[in-house]
Amino acid sequence: MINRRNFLKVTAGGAGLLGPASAMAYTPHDLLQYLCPPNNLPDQLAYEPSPPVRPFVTDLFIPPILPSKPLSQLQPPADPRAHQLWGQTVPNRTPGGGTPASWDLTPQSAYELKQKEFKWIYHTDAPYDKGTWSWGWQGSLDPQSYPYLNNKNAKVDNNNPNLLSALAQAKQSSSTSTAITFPMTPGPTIHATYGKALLVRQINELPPIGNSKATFALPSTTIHLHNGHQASESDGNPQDWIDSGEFWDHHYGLFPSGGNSHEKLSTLWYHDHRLDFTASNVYAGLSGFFLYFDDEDTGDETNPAGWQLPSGEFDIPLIFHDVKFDKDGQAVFNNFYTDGWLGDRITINRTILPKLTVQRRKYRFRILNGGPSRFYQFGLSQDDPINNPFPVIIITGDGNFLPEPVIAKHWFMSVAQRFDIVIDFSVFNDGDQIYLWNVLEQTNGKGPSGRQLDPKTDKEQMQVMRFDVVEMADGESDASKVPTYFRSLPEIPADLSTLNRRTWDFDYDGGLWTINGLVMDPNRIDAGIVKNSTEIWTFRNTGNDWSHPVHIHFTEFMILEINGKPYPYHTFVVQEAEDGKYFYVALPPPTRTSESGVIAQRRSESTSGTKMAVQYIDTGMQKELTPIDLFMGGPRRDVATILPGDQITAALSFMDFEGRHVMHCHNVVHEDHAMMIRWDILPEGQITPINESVPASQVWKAGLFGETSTSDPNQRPYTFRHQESRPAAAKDIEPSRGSGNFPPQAPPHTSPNYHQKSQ
Amino acid sequence: MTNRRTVLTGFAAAVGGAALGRAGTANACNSLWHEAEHDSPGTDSTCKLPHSGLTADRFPNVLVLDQYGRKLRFYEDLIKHRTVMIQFMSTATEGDLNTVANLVQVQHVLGDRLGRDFYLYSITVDPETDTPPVLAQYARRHGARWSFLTGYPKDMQVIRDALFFRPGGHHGHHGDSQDCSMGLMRYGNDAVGLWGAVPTRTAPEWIAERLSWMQPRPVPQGAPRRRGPLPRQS
Repeated sequence: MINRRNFLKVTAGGAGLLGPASAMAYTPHDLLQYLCPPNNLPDQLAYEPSPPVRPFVTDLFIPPILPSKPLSQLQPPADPRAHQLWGQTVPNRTPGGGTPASWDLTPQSAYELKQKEFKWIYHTDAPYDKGTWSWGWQGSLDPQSYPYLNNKNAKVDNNNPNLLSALAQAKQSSSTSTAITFPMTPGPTIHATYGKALLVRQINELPPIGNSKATFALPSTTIHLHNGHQASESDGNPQDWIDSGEFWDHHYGLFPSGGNSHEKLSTLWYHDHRLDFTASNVYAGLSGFFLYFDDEDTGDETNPAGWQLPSGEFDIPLIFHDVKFDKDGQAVFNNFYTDGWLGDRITINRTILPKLTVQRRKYRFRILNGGPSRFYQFGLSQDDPINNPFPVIIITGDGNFLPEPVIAKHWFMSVAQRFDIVIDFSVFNDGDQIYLWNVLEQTNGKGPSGRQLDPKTDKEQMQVMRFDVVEMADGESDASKVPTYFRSLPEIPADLSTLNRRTWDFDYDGGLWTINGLVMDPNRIDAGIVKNSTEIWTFRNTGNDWSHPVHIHFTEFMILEINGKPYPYHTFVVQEAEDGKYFYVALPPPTRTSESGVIAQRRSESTSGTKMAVQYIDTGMQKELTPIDLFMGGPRRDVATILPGDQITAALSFMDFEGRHVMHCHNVVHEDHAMMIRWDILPEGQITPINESVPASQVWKAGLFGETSTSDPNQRPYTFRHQESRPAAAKDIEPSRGSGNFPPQAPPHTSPNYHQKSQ
Repeated sequence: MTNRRTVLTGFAAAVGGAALGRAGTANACNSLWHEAEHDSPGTDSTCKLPHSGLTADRFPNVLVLDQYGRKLRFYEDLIKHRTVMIQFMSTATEGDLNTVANLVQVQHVLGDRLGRDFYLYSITVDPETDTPPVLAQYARRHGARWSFLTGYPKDMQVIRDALFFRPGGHHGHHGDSQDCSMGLMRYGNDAVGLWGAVPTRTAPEWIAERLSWMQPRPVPQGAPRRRGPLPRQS
């Protein structure tokens, strides 16, 4: 090593930086090391750990339901001319018919969601008790009707510190209203019902940049309703942001894609999607639940016309975010970590290691991995999730109901995946304590390490939540049920060979996360899809040590293949129906033939392919049933999790609307480092899909879907050098592990005859 | 993006309170840089800088040289309280990667505000070759008026580590010798504590617009204004 003082003397004159002497001090190996060093940055988790907490002493925060208001109360009023299909109806196209005859897309009510900055108490221990500067939304609750206060069973009353603090402040104020209003993260939960279209006004009341306390985030937002079938202008597109003091109206039609009831959704969430800043803004707190109900999933367990799933206070959403804190309890976020950001404190509904008091009855938990970068594999157990897991009943995958419930020991969740599970606590005893465990190890932002944690040595980091079981209140009974069958999956066309195919390679190059070598350009269309068409997309992970949860906006997809093999439907096979279309029918795997009579009966009836009378699982037998080991998602999803080397092929339909949307990696740090593409739904008159990247200005009139004049590539004083042609079919291309497509860029601009949208 | 004609006008009066000028402010740390025997002064934790910006702890305050041979402290003289763009390059590979052409366009867009309100730093990953004279010649050849930085290799490595400019176990398409995260550019404003990243080849107007996102703004008054969606033409 050269002497530092000498070095400075040499360089002080500004002549040669390194003389011959220093060159001799380095071997070629050293040179290579600093040219492109190996992993020599200390692992992020080696940073000073977050202050410790006592586990399971803080009550889970359960966001209250946001009350709606009449549309006419919005000031200024919403503008129907700005929204596709506002005021129109979509006919019910469910095969075999269904009710209602059509869906009316005129908003029936409105919500105002005000984004706020505030101090949020993640835990009652110091320093967290002083509050963490966070972002979220204004919510309100009436202490008399909020079910976790003044409950018939006083043991389940909630003492979350944020709740108590809001109650205390309300007492001091002279307000005559019984409802208390306070900002919260997750934001208030919204309950929506199919057939009742909504207008949601997002209002940015965050302090502007330079005034906000969560300095790592950008107080400029665009709130995406994740999994919603809504038009481009209501989707929360990354480029539709609002700054402090501005609002944006979102029109949610509350009708299933294509008017087909089999496309209905259930558990959705809303979160920020700001270009370049999604990870930091969601990390700061901008996420919340948006739940869809319908005439089967009624949200009323006492209504025999529906499925009678656990409802009301027994239907609890759980959003997971891992957060890192500094010694003062403030959130730490360093977006220089391009691989992803891990927190060392697992929070659930923004409570660190919460406890929840549950009664001896069935509960529905809507579990969501909110990111930014961590994957989970959950199991439920009193002592050991590996050797003694308590199986749970999984009823949804991402946003939709599985055809039939799946009983599983563990469930794997990449970022943004959602599962609704039912747990029947009646099989436990008063006083039992049951833990939710995460058994998946992850040591950096790129994805899981592939190793499972060991309950013997890693117990402290594996236990993330505790359920404390108590008796039900006197006179109460559990009216809820779990049907053996929900609804069949949407059909996919019988002949896939005529469908347009696209292949997307998820890769890394030049410090950026890339899709087919491309990085996000909001003014470039990387796929043009004809409205009301179905396409086959293949997602490939070309890396061997990173994972990508790939999310497509606007529509869910049906998985056709994983790694070249037909999707391993644990309980589903493909059959050909009479109308010449494939659809999935629930069939049990042979290994489950020795199970209970309940399951056997369900099996024999479900093979008919027709909707049968609702039957119910005897959840008291949850323990005895033979579960599958690991559930990774249903056949229909909005997140394709591609683990290292994975390839997933899926069918997607793009119905009802036109305009721009995106596909991106939902490891939101990857997304912010440009792993996102824009795709557009073209007018139905468009003859062919666009299978190459084109400037948006060649497809749409300026201003319609976000085309700028300043960034018109044709006006740029330089030209792109590289070409890249889109593969026409998956079979035509080999997996690329180094095609030399750097830097990522668009192909030269062709001049296809895309006719402008006719107005 | 919806018609963002505000790209340039949106740069508020901007950078209020920014400590302009890099005149070597004398402080207790100066002596350390010159006297200490350790190899990477930036990693020395005993020296706390006075009046640090919000993101001071993310950047090593190592000594670097610009293309004119001027000695500068990486954080204190170049980043503190400033709106900056940071990008890595080397004169040997720049020809292949061809990012400098785009950055010259960014320079055109920013005009004389580059170097006054906004700063662009191209940091070499090849300090053995890219001495100040080499960088100066390179900058002249491309008409680049922003700062090109080099320095003691260990210090340059510290900077790259802190900014996560590294393959980090990724195997780039050009092999380990070239793929040095050079497709990425960091941008941020230490005065407000906010940093983002953008592909270096992004359209120059978009890069410029991102700098406007980093500028402090006044708290809005009055009722919220509609940003969108806008009515579609009929």
